[in-house]
Amino acid sequence: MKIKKLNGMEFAKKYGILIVLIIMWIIMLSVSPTFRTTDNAVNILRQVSVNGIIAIGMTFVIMTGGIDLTVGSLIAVSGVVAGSILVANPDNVILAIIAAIIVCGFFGAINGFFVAYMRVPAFVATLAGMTIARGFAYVYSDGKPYTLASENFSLIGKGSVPIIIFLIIALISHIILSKMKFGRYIYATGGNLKAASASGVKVKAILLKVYILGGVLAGIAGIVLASRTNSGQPAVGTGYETDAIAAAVIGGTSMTGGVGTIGGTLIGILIIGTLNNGLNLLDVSSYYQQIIKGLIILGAVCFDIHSKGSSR
Amino acid sequence: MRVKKLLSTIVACTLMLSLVACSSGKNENASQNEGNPTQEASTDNGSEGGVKIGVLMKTMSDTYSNKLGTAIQSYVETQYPDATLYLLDGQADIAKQISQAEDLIAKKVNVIILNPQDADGSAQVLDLAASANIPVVEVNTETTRTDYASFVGSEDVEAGEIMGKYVTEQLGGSGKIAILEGEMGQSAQIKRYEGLENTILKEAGIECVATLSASWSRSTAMSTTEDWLGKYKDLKAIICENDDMAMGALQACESQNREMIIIGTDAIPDALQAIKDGRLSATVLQDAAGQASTSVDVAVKVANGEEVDSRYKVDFQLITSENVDQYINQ
Repeated sequence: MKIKKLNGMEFAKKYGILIVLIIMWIIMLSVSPTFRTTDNAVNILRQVSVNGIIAIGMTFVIMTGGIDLTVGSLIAVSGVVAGSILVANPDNVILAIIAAIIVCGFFGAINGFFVAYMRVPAFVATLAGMTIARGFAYVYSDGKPYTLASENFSLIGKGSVPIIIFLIIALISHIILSKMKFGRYIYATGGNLKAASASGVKVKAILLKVYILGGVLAGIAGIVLASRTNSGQPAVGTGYETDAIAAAVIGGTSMTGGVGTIGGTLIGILIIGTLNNGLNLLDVSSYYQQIIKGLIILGAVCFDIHSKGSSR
Repeated sequence: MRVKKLLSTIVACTLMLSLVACSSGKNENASQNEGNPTQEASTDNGSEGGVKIGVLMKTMSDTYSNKLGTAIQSYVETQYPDATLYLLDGQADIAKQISQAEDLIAKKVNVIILNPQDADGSAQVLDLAASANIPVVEVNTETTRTDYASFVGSEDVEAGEIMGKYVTEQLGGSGKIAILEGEMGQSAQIKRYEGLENTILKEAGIECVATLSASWSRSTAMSTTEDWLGKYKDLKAIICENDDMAMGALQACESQNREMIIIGTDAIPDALQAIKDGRLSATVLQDAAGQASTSVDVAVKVANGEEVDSRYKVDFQLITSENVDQYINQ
């Protein structure tokens, strides 16, 4: 009996946030017939793929004890860079993708350089990066949206392709974090920077790489979004960083670093996606949606912390 | 340690240099701009020509605003080659628009054309301009104030009514519809919705199953429509308060092979092309060129002290596959 109870606590400790997601699904499944369809499930996955990709990048960054506010702007940078190339020649799909990712990776590298080598606090460095990248998107596109007419490029955002891209990235990221040396170093750097440094981890190089990764993933997310909407817009992606941070934190990533999993972030982004979709299906008005979203995010994290605390 | 110091010095220097480079660039521009009007003024003696027109655009990034801003620029260039134009992009930020108004006042422009970011917030621009004795012509959107020199725009209620009537006709008076609204609280959203209330929402046979805001955004409109398509299998039409959202709704319907009557407003290039290709049902033209030319003409008159009306109405037009060709290359 005692053992069983302990197991229950262990379960709640480990899977607290998953329980929240399951409860949300049970509620939605019982009140909304639409929610029971596979189409809607695919729909949610497709809608979270863009935010999910940047949330994974955000997880890496937050695990080092940092934060990356540039990702929303980088979505726009990626869209306009790819857009400009595709407007000039709709067949240059590969070039457009590579260029967009490289430019975003470069912005990530600038963030990483200032955080790791100039020791600028991540919040400040990436806040600056956020406005610089947004400005860059406006300057580059002259403020105009690019309308895309490339058949091949639009395939990236169609059907289950965004979901597959998202899940592959999640899988690779999970392997990096749980199986590879780079992943262990990230945990070590975020857990205790000085100790990691003393034990021979090149923390600066690790930080730089993590921010580059964040930029690259934002670039990929931007491409998926541009393909989904068939346009590259300089104003797109505003506020996306907040959903990404929320997903990572809901998923149990510690803002002070050293703790976090890709699986947790996946659950976090699914909670946000289920919320957006569910509130639309329940015809909740646009005004109330924002309040309810905030309350549920707060409640989910409280439940998670509480369930962890109870077994301590 | 020494390497680190050296590195920080190099970075600091690079940053400073780039700052200097940026600001010197600005100076050049400014002196150029300042050079022109004085020259013009001396030759023209303050007649039609040498007016300094300041334009505060709420943004240059949504497709319609971009069209309006560009149309203002090219109209001034062709019709008033002697005038100096300062066109500032408020980047959808009310605080930025207000500080840009202060910049224009510092530049001593003769008249300000204001494309308000926010009905209440942008009203401050009127106060600032009034204290500097600079008349303001509002274009496209109105602020909550009425002490402007003139307002040039289209009645957004009319756009809503045109959309409502068109969809009612297409549906033969019965069917289920959904509405995608703009940013809640903006005048275009409130008035276009009012137009729908005056027409289609009064029809007994038509049931509006859902109304949600997609904040003028294509990607949000797309996900909201995807959610609806799963829930409302017999949805017949989606009315969108702008074309960006209509394109998002269209993208969602096409990816699920759903036939849908979709109408937007603004006649942006991709929407026109989609109508020509038979994908999108219709759009309502908010005449950017008409608004641009009228507002510039009125602004120049105001700057020269001539009498103007307090309102100029630029009509909306319905564009369908039948008449799309005459608009597509405008």
